[in-house]
Order: sequence, then C-alpha cells, then structure tokens
Amino acid sequence: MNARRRFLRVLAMSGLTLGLDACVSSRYLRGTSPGRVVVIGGGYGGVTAARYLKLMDPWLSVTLVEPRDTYLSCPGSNEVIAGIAELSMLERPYAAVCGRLGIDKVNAAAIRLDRMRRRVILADGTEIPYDRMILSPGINFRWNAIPGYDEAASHTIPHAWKAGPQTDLLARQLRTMPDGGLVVVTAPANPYRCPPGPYERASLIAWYLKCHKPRSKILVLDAKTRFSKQPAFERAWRDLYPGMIDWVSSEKQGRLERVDIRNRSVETEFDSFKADVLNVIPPQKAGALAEQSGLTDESGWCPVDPLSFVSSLDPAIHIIGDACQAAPMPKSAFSANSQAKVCAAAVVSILAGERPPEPLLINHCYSFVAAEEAISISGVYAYSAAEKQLTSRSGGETPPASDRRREAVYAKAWQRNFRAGVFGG
Amino acid sequence: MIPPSLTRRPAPLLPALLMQAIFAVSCPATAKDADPSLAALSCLGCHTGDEDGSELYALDRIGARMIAAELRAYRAGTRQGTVMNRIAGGLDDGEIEGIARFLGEPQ
Repeated sequence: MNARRRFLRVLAMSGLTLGLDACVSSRYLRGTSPGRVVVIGGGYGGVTAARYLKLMDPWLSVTLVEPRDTYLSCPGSNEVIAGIAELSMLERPYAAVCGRLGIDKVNAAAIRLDRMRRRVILADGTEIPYDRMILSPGINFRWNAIPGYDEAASHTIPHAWKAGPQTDLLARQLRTMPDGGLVVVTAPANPYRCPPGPYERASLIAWYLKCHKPRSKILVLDAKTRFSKQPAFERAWRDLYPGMIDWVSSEKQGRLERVDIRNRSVETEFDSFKADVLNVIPPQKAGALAEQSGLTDESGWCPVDPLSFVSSLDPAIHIIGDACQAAPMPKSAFSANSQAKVCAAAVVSILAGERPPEPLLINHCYSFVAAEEAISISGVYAYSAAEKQLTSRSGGETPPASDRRREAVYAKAWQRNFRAGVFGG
Repeated sequence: MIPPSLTRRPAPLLPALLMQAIFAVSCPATAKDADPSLAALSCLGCHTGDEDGSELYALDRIGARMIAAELRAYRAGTRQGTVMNRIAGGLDDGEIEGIARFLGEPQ
C-alpha cells in the first residue's frame, strides 16, 4: 500500500476529518514512505524539533527520548545564582507540549545507537527504530582538562553550567561566604555553551555582592583574550560595580594549571589565587551519546551540513544545538531553537524525497548585567552551498552607551515567550 | 494498528499552513535563494505570544504590510530599535517580503 493510501486509511479509521483540506496540502502526502523520526534530548533544541515536526506534519510518528519529566532551563540560571529568580521558575514539564501535539515521549535514557540497524537502544534494552533521527544531546565536560577538576571535584567546586543542583550549590556558597571575600570564576576557551554566560554570571554575582557583601571582589580568569559583548559588559561593570570585577585575559595569566579543591584555589602559569567561592566552568565537548556513537570529530563536536543539520558522519542522523558545529552561530538556546526549525523542515522534505529548503537562521541572546539591566547580541546566518557552512549576514551587539533598562524589559519578555514557544501546550 | 498519536486530534490549521507556506515560498524559488519562511520561524523565537503586554507583540496582529515596512525602516536605520536593526540588516527585499507574508497574513 502506498503512503497516500495508507495515510487516508489511517485517517478514516482515526476519525480525523477536521482540517483535512489543510492537511492534504501538507508535505507528507506527497512523500513515498511514512516516516518514523526519533528525537533524542529534551532541551530547547530537541523539544523545538519534535514540536515543529508535528506542526509541519501531524501524521508523522515523532518520538522524544528524554528521561526527565521536566526540563530546567539554563537561560535564567545565572539569575537564580544571584537570588533574583527561583530554580523552580526555570522548570517546564514535557507533558503539555507532548500531549497537545501528539509527540510520543519515552521516559528513558538512550544509552546507545545501533547506526547500522537504525535503532536507539534504551537502558532496559528496548530498541526504538527510526528512519531519521534528530540528536540534540547538549554538552559534556572535558573532565581533567584542567588538572584537579573532575566530576567528583564539581560536587564541592561547582561548574553550574547545567541548571539544577549545581546552580543551587553555587548560590548557597555565595550566600555563606564572608563579606570581603573573593569569588573566582574561570572561563573556558571557545567554543563552549553560551559564550557570554560567564560574564553575565560575573555581573549578576557582583549585583548580589553589591547588595549583600559590598566589600567582596570577583576575579574572572579567562582562557581567552577577549569575549562576547565585551565593550558593553566592561562599560556596565564600570558603571555599576566600579573596582569590583577584575577580568584577567589569558595573555596576562596564561593557562589554568591546576585546581586545588582542598584549598579552594587555582594556579595559573604565573600565579595562584585562593578563593572563598570558586566556580570552574570547564572546557566542553558534544554530549556523551554523540561521542560514544562516533558522531564527533577530533574537535569533540559534531560536524554537520547546516542545510539540514545532517551529520557529516551518518546520513540518517541530524544533530542540532550546542553539540553541533554550526559556526559562526554561537552555542545558545536561541541558536538551538532556530536550528531545530530548519532541521524539522529538512527532515520532512527528505522523507518526501525532496531537497531541503535553503535556510536562513537567527541567533539572539540577552545577558543580564543587573537585576533590571541587560545587553544583547544578535546575528543572521545564511547557507553557503559551496562550503556547506553558515556565513554571517549581519549582526551586532548592544553598544557600550545604551539603554540597558529597556533591554532588560525585552529580555524578561523574551524568556517568557521563548519558554512558552517551546514548552507551551 | 493506529499509532497512539493519531487517536488525538492534531493541532488544526497551523501545521499544514506552516508547511504550505514554507513550500509555497520555497518550491518555486531558485536553489540558491534562502527560504524566508525558515527565517520567519526563527522570528517566533521572540515573537510568540501576545500575553506579555510588552513590545514583543504577536506579529500576526499588525499585518504583512506593516511588518515589511517596519523591517525596511529598521534596515535603513530610520527606525531605531535595539535588536531589530541588527537583524533587519541581514535581510534582502525578497526575504523581508517573504517573512512579512508568512508572519503577517491571517492563517
């Protein structure tokens, strides 16, 4: 039975008639095979992909593999550290979006991929077959890339680079540190999740300290020589927290040589710093499942063709979000959201035997510098078919002298809208 | 056997119209042209709802002509925003028209 006849039979059996006119114009009817798409990873990338697959073709079988019942948003977690927001405000259940759109959610971790047989293997041995997979595995840390800092160390010296208990731990340590203490934040080399994140964090920690422990200082030890939105951040630091935040470029202090958990100190090539609160943001790579499945290259990230975000290493697997190499797009929630929509449209096209539409993508990120002040960076990215890469069309950052209060109003609205646009029922 | 997802009524109109819009724009276009409806989907990363009462209003209420005019004004710098000047600067005329049609026409 061909796809169209099978589709019509299923439609008749299921009693779905409303909206048929609209639905016959959907892509699926022109396809040659029914598609089973499995999405792995319930972050902003994965949930957006599952959502848009179903919006674009409600009859597509879409399975979301994600062990948790609720998601904790990383954007917004620096506000929790500063005491501006509660962790529970960042929480969104999967039930609403999955229920309304008919996404089959599998509450389990995918532990292995059988790429030859196109199957996802779950922890209990269950196998889920797929025609196409969208993998949105997020990041993993390069433990021990900084000697002395491994996963066990993170239980006392938080990274707080995934929202959850780590966020709480860093927040608690700030609450109990003495006035006049030193907070040290170490920032990794590019690329990593959320390029402006370490500097938003330093800003919001400064905001907290200014309110509660005003004699304290913050030292940012950076593996880079410059950073995202630097002029606007540095202007905000001068305006709001004069003398409080000291950013140290790698040109000045060199590499991070070692983290000493017991002394809560870090050694650089030239110096040693003892902290009252130490936050190590380690170097990163693609999520574990991507690496274990052979979908990463020597960079540790997943090479893709951003026309469809199909893996350069497996023609049936698409990889989106922080894990994929989509430079010059930064690794952000907004990028993952934009990529997920492009990827969903591509998957629907490919299942219909057609070339994916040529993408135009957008990134946009706000960073808070105080409870009611924010700055931003934005970019538009086009596809270069010759290079199979994205190219930057336009972009820009908040200029140093700007209305940061106005941007904070937008930033808060963005957080609400973005979360609703992904997780809303 | 009907998959469980088919026993629920899917979201009505938006889905098919979404793809109709995407492919209505993309199919006749030449292969090297970017598909503006995909850029329009990225716009929804901010412009999703109308419940927040801020300036991030839902674009479907202001209409395609207004959206296109605003994007051109942002691009030319005759209207000063925060984010929108940077984004509009990356769009050509055809893309502005395509985005405006996608977001602004009643669906």
